[in-house]
Amino acid sequence: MDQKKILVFGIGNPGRGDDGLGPRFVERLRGRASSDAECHDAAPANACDLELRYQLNVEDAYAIKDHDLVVFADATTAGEEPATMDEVFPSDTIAFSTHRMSPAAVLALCHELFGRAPRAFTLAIRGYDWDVGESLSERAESNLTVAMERFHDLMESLRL
Amino acid sequence: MGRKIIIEPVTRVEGHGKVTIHLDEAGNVTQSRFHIVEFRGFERFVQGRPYWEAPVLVQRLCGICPVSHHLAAAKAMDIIAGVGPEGLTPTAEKMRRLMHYGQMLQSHALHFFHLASPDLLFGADADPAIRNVIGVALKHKDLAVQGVLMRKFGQELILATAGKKIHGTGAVPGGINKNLSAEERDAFLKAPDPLNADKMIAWGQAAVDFFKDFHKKNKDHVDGFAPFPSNHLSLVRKDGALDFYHGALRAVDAKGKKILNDVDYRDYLDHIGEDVRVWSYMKFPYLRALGKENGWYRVGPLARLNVCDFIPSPRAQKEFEIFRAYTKGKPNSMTLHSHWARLIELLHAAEIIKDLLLDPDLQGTDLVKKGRKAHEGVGLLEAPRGTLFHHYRINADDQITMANLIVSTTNNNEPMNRAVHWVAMNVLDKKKEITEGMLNRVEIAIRAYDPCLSCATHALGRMPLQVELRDARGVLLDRRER
Repeated sequence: MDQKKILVFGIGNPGRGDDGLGPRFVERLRGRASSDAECHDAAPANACDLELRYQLNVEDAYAIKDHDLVVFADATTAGEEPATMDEVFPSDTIAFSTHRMSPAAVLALCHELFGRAPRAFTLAIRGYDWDVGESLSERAESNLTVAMERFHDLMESLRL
Repeated sequence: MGRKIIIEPVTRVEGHGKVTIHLDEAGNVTQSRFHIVEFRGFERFVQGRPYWEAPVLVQRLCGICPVSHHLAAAKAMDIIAGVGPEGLTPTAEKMRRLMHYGQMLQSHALHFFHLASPDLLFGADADPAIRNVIGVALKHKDLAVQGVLMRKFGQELILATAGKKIHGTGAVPGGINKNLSAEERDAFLKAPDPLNADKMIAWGQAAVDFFKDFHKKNKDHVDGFAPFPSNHLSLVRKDGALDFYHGALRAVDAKGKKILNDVDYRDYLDHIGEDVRVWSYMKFPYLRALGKENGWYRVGPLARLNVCDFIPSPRAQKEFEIFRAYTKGKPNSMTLHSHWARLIELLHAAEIIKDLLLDPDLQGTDLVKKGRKAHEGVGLLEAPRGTLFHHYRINADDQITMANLIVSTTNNNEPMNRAVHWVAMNVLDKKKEITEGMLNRVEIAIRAYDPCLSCATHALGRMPLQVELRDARGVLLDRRER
């Protein structure tokens, strides 16, 4: 089997409560990858490049250009509970603020600048509390555990 | 009946803002405001926390400019730790400078290539679907690629100096917690094209040349868009040089006469006041010497180049001389010339980054100094958007008891309002039809100041978006929500 290059972004501000769900997801992947007991489950994580971001921005078009698969993990304020994994495609109708770029916009910019865009998914993890602070709410913690399962399911379904 | 035109949110600036323009029954502009409607209270949040946490805590303020807050807080904490503002070890100061100049490079690159260039390249009346970074990528691919790679280079410098991409811990009270290894240095100096220091200088020069060429072909528009005289404020080095990291506070008026003559920024409260208005949570700083009415000032690239005497790097100095000569040595008050100034600063940052990378002090091992603890500290620096003020007091238990932050965008509050008003008076006044292009010109005026509204009111960034149309008596005519 060809080794696929996988990149996982954990997006959000870990100083803003549940906005830290994305970074926490990546930290859990990182922790799982370093555990001998879970090396089988960690195989996808071992093969993953893991990146943290406050928000996506234009340079991430460069970061993704040589990968085969990208997963954007981020908190959502109003998405389905507990977490959803959806494929995302380059967007050709753009009206965005560069305070943050959407995954679709990053894919579109990558395609325009570098001639290709990887297959990509957004992992939206439902959050509830956005106040300044470093802890996740209890419900968000629970959703994070489900998010790990969604990621594992994706890797299984793509045979990675 | 009178109409109120509201633009919300301002696209392509960090955070959100609302613009309100009030027309009377004849279509004359009677009032225009750029205002923020959220309040965060971050300064209260840090109270009670140990002072050494401040440089990391303040990075929660904003994901766009965390390094500025990190370093400004660290400078304030240096004083509390008993190390004067100029008492760091050479390694510590130069590591912080490398972090800061790396941030300037990537922030200025982002702003010009991806925030401002769509307007400049396509014009204010272009279809919004292409007047954005994808449109730039389609038609001017080289520019878009350079912007992306300059961002990446700057972000990698921040990682190498701060230790982490998010909530970096590089700067600590009294110093720094890591140096730059020879291997890390070589990754920036000797990497193959394009991600090396020499290429950043070349692209910085190309960016300035691009703007000068654009200016030559669009002189009337660039010079004539929202010019208004103002005071200007910035830090300057002891010898009057442009310095992003440290210096004395200087202010000049619209004719170039000094209002603040290189004062110690620790005494800023003696010289800077903060006014409040009922319709905005963002404050309105002013120079006390001139009073609330006339004491407002610009900060940021245009102000810095109006205030300093010279730029201490050769290519940027040459461009600075051309810039200054354009207004015959007098302060430049043309809003869109902020982009020119920003690109000269981008070039300067690239040159200084190379100089720092060549300095063996970065591999030094003397990282932290300690002294006799103080209970109050002030830290100022020149953030990408302008002068940033951090001020803290602590108690006997080392807990923060007071924090006062004046962020760059707050300093530019009145100038942004003046720019909006110029557009309202010159573009919207007496018009029977309001076009997308007219509204975009209001945003162009604001974007020239590169505001980071997320910091300016310390907002959570989840404010509801509302557009309201009200008549002269305040009666709601129409409302849209997003």
